[in-house]
Amino acid sequence: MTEVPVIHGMGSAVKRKEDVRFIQGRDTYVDDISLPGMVYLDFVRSPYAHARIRSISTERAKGAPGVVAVITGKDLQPLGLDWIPTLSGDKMMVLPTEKVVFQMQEVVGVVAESRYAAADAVKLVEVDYEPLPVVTDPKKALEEGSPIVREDKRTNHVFHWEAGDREATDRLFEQADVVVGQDMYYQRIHVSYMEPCGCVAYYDSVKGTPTIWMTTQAPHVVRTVASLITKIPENKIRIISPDIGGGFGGKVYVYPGSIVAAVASIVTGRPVKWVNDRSDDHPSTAFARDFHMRAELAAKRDGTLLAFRVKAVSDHGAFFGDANPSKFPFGLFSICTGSYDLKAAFVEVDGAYTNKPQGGIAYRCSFRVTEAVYAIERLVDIMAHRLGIDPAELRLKNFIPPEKFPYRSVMGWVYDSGNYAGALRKAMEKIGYEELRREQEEKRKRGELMGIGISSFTEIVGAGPSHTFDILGIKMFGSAEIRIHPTGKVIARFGTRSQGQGHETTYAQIIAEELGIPIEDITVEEGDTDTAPYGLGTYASRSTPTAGAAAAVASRKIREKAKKIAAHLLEAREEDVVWERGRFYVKGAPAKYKTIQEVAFAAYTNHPPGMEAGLEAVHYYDPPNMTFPFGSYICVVDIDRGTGEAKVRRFVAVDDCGNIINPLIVDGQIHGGLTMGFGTAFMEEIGYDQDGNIYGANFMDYTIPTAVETPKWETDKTVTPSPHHPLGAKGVGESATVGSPAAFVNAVVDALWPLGVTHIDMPLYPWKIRRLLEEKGYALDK
Amino acid sequence: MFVIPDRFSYTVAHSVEEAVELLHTLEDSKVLAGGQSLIPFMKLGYASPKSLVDINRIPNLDYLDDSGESLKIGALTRISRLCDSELVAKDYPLIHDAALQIADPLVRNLGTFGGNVCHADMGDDLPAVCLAMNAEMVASGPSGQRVLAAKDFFVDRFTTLLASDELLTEVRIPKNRRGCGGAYLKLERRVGDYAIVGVAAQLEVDGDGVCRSVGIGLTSASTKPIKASEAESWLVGKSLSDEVLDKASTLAMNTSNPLSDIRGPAEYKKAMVKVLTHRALKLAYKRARGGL
Amino acid sequence: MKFEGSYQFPKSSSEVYSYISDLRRVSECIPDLKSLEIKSEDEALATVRAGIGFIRGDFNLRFNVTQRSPHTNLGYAVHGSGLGSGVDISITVQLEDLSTGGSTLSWVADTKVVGRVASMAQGMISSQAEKIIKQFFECLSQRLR
Repeated sequence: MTEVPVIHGMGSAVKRKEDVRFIQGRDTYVDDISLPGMVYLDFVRSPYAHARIRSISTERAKGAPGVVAVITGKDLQPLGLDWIPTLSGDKMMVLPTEKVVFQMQEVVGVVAESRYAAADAVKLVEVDYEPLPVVTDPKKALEEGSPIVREDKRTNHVFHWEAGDREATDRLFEQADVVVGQDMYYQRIHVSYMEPCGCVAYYDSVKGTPTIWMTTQAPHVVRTVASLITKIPENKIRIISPDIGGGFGGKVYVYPGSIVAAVASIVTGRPVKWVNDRSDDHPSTAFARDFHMRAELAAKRDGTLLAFRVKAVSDHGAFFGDANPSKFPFGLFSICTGSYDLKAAFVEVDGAYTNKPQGGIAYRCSFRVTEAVYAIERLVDIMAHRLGIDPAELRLKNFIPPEKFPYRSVMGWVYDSGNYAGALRKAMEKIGYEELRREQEEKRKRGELMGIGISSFTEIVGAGPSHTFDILGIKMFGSAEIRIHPTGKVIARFGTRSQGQGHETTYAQIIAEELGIPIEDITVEEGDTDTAPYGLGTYASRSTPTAGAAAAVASRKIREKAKKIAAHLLEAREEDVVWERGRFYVKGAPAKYKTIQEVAFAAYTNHPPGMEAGLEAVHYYDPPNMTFPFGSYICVVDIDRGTGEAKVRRFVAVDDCGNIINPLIVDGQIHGGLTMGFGTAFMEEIGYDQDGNIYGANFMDYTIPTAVETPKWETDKTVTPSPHHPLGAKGVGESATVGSPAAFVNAVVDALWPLGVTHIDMPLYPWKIRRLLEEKGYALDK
Repeated sequence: MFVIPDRFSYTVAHSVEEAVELLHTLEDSKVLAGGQSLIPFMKLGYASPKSLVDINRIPNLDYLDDSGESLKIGALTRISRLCDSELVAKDYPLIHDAALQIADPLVRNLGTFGGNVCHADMGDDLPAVCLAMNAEMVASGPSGQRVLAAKDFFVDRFTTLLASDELLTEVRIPKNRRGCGGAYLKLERRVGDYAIVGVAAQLEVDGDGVCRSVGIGLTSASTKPIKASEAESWLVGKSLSDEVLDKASTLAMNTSNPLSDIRGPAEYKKAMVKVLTHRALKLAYKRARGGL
Repeated sequence: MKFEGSYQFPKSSSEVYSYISDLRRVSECIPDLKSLEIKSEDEALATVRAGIGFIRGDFNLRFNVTQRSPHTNLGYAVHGSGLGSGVDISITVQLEDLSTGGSTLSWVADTKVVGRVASMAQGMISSQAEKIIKQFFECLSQRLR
């Protein structure tokens, strides 16, 4: 017997293949790309949030040393590129010709021989603005007489969207014994990826081919849209997404920089690099959340939850650019019945334009699921407190029971699988829930404030089935193309784009599992539209559910062919050939086998007569349903009655994402997501004053957590496989960001509930808590 | 757009005299020490000095010397040196507390004591320490050396008593004796951030625990670093009971006049001056009683 | 941000009006003035070096007289930019004769500062803007005594 090689298939906690180059700094980000003759693009940005442009004088800038081009909106107009379509059917200004609509908007592009020359020349462009009244509050934007952000629309109202059954919901509310309601604001935040946005654009005028290396999560979509707008044949456009330093939804968008760089390359005939620095990027690129909601929950006195309704206003900034599937202008917010077996629900959302950059990033979230989970998990907690029932008990009483899966929610989603009580019980046991409640009781008697918060979330990821999900008409399938070389080594290409998720490892593990080839022998490539199969990219935790499934199915196609070749080699009938990971043997004679590598060699050297040579497969996977990862998080906080600081003492996270491909990567995803959720809950916020000045425009003002503040995460899991996914996997990238904010807020409110506090909007700044303590006469001055 | 400052000239000074001469002759000049505030301000476009005078190569400005009447700290002494110094940790807990809470290790490796003091932002930590410890600032200018009291040094936000052609060379801290103790408490949004509010307290108590002298400096409690003088004078001669500390911290709060900003509303910051003053005095007292 | 103030003068409102409606004389009271160009009787261009400590930069400002109602009202508008920020100040001045002789000047300044500096330090900008505007009126009042 030969030794079975270690292949690191499903479930192996192998270290990430790509980390070797990341750790050594041998990676290639957009800013690492340097082409001969390259010039640099920088922008004049607007200090005004809303102003008419009286005039732009570029003469001094054009005459400055090293300047090769200055590009204004008027220059883009004849090309039809002063505005471009967004993914939501709206359009977005590239450079303004009439007026600016948010602070830090790109106004004029300056291209020069060096970054320094460009930056110096930017200061020489003179723009005369006539300030206009500003609106930064979406509720005010929807009022009569508010300043109009988009004159082409003549209204600030973007859309009205409803889901669920209004009448049935209202009826249940009328009949309910208890109704709780809460106004909540999910604040505007930035995804704060490590690598700001940028591109290198090069138009080869001989071949007529534009090539753009850019920070994008969805290169193929960019190529198709670019071709449709510019009429440049799609085969001539090449979009390359090299190594990406985090995306979290923020790099689904195409920003003015890429358009202007491409035009500048055509104008100058030279490669043009544009890379935002942090202080450019943070205030001008797209934002997440910014969502004002009124949520209400109805229940019987015994704690049976009946119905849920939400009325909300969402702020989309100056352009409606959400990267939502076409049929879902407000994403998948209708997952808001969460983990509970409700009888009815209804949500309505109005979108508003304001003088802010476009919003609506599904920040590490499958299209507004974060807001939905926050709403239901906050309201369930409020209901529990109102009824005097322990929040854990109320959840356990109302969870969708395991036997009801697949479960059709009142909103029409079919949840694939779940065991919600299992996850919550495990989390309770791990944290010592009963003991903590006892401790809390004693502390309360001593005047000490301690809180315990639970969030039992259900996610909806893996967009998505072609009958429901498309972006600009393109179905949201996942794609994989796998080719086995004669020596049994593999190249596999995907229509997704890793931004740090570890695809090079997990996809390799899937193929390893299916074909028995060690992951070291599998090269995974993504991000180059000239080589990768068409795909809609990576966001919304969709890569494993779609492209991961495609990898499995394509591998199985290869295995089918390999089996025929093996039968030929083993001189056996195909039905007598048995597959065991890594090799085929003849039934009843395991010693007589051919390894997959031997079969691969034969595919090119000794394939059966009549069979095509080669060993490869392509698969475009159309998921039959979404997947529904879930989990229960429990957080314990202690509150300083003097300073108002809430310190997270413990945080237990039990996640269930179905079958796990790489536990190390899953753990990493959860740790990262929890930290982002912690930042959201405690310190992150982009604010605006009435003049449209942004607060939190750089990392000096906008705080994201460091390792010092970040609590120690205690993670665990349950495993409830997805019944419809080829690997039983569900996707995990976003669970923690989606699920954790409610746990933090619930914990802090739980601590303060006896004082009469029902809610605090995030971020849970110490000053907000202190103010409440003062109001309730509970603040200490020492 | 923001990583690149406006054009400026850069000159290296090799002696204090040369630095002063350069500051005197160069147009719109600014001293470059650790550069941990100046450089970010320049790249963000907040400041655009026409000339920088780099003092990092002036010898013998980086020292901690307690051989004489006072602890002498050279203006170029890096913050990290204060963090690592056994002398500071043991004898000057107030300085040690504050140094450890300034920004992050990378900034502390380059940032200097003199730079932090001369930047004189309301959110810098060492000005409050100097105020609490009644430090003396030694400056060299074209007409020679002068010694300025910390309480007079901080004129306004980003503005000190130093003339544009004067260089701070040394800060002198009264030596800690038996019965002395100090503490710096800093409330921050996140580690490394500027203070929401910071309180520096330095105490000397006699054998009965009666306050002989006290200094209280406040960070982010006004548009500039300030001294809580009323609280100081009220404390002298008293035993530090909880009631006494309450009154002192109320007086400190009344001295403060913070701005509302992203770090919190003014009323919160005022309340925090009170809370932190109480806690800082208590910790300083504990350290003072613990002996040196 | 709105700031306001008022002064009393021994001079009559018409004397005060004739002084403060003369852009050339008014310009002399602009604090930290680096250069000045009078374009017309209603418009002047000024460069001002403003700031606090070493946070300082040149602001290019256009001054316009926006309203002239002899003896009673005067309006100025200031518009410009500096330190990556936009500045817009609209000032209305009201004059009234006192029964006891002399007159009162009341002013209201509506100030907007937008952009990089405003985003950096809310509180600092308003206090600084107030200081500068008050300096301007203080200077005018000195000259009118």
